[in-house]
Amino acid sequence: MRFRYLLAFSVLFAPLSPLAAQGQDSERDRRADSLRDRIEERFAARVQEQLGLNNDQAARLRATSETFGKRRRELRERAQQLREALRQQLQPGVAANPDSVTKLTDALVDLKLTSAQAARDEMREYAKYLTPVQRARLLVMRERMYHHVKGAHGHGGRERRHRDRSWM
Amino acid sequence: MSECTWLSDRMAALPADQAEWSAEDQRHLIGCESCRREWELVRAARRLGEQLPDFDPVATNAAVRRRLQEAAAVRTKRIRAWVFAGMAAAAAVAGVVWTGDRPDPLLRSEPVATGFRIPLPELDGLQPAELDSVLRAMDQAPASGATLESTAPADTGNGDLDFVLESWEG
Repeated sequence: MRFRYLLAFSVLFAPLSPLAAQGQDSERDRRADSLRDRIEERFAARVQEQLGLNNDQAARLRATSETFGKRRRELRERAQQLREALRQQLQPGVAANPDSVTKLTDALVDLKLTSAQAARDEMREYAKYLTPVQRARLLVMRERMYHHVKGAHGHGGRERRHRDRSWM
Repeated sequence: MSECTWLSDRMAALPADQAEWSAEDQRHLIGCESCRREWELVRAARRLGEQLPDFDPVATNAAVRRRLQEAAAVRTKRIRAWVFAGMAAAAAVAGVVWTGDRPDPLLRSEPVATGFRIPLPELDGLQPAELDSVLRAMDQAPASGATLESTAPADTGNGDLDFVLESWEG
């Protein structure tokens, strides 16, 4: 009789174990997305508050941020791919392919220049509707945020799947 | 009424200890195979009945009741086991669902009024614990007077701005 109960429990709970693992991953991704959204929203709120933006400025800042944010995200992903490829080439004990290393290095430098150009374009766009002081404050806030996020890397990062060593 | 029918009726009515037939009946039994076989069957049935113990209605009633109670007890145990298993499974599922839907304390605090976001691609790849760290620092900055991202050019001379400007070198 006890065996039958154990069998019944096994049948009931066995399907739950892979679901639980899958659920943990999706739960972690969902939580990360929520936190990221929350940080970006809160940062936007701080910017609006501290720069004293009016409604028109806030609307235009939103549009500019979305446009260039998407661009920065693409450049960042591209940089991560190039860095990972270069890391593979430069592994100790493995003969690197000189041609590949040259191309990857050049591509990374080009990407840094592209990123700098994108930052310049973004700043020029801000100049169209922000005062010089507002624009400078936004730049400082962004830089501070960037350094702070960089400092947060590794805080509780045991779960990290791919460590970002961005120098961009 | 035919002879066979009359004889068949008498077979059932004949007392067990009386197996005597009249000469006329005996002649019919010898001549009629059907009646003879029926009579043999009746006699065999009576012999079997004589071997059975006396029927005790009280004991039989008690035995039947006992068996029914035992069957009911087993069934009750089985139902309880299944109910317990079902409740345990439901509790496990509810636990997974509940913990999954439980809002993060950080996400419940400080409603955002702006309704828009400034994309921060540097957040990509951060794990929840690291994002927690960033969010908590943002929460603590105003309260502690620290400046996570509040440094203004007008505040020149403070370490925050110097730090940021120096980071642009090279």
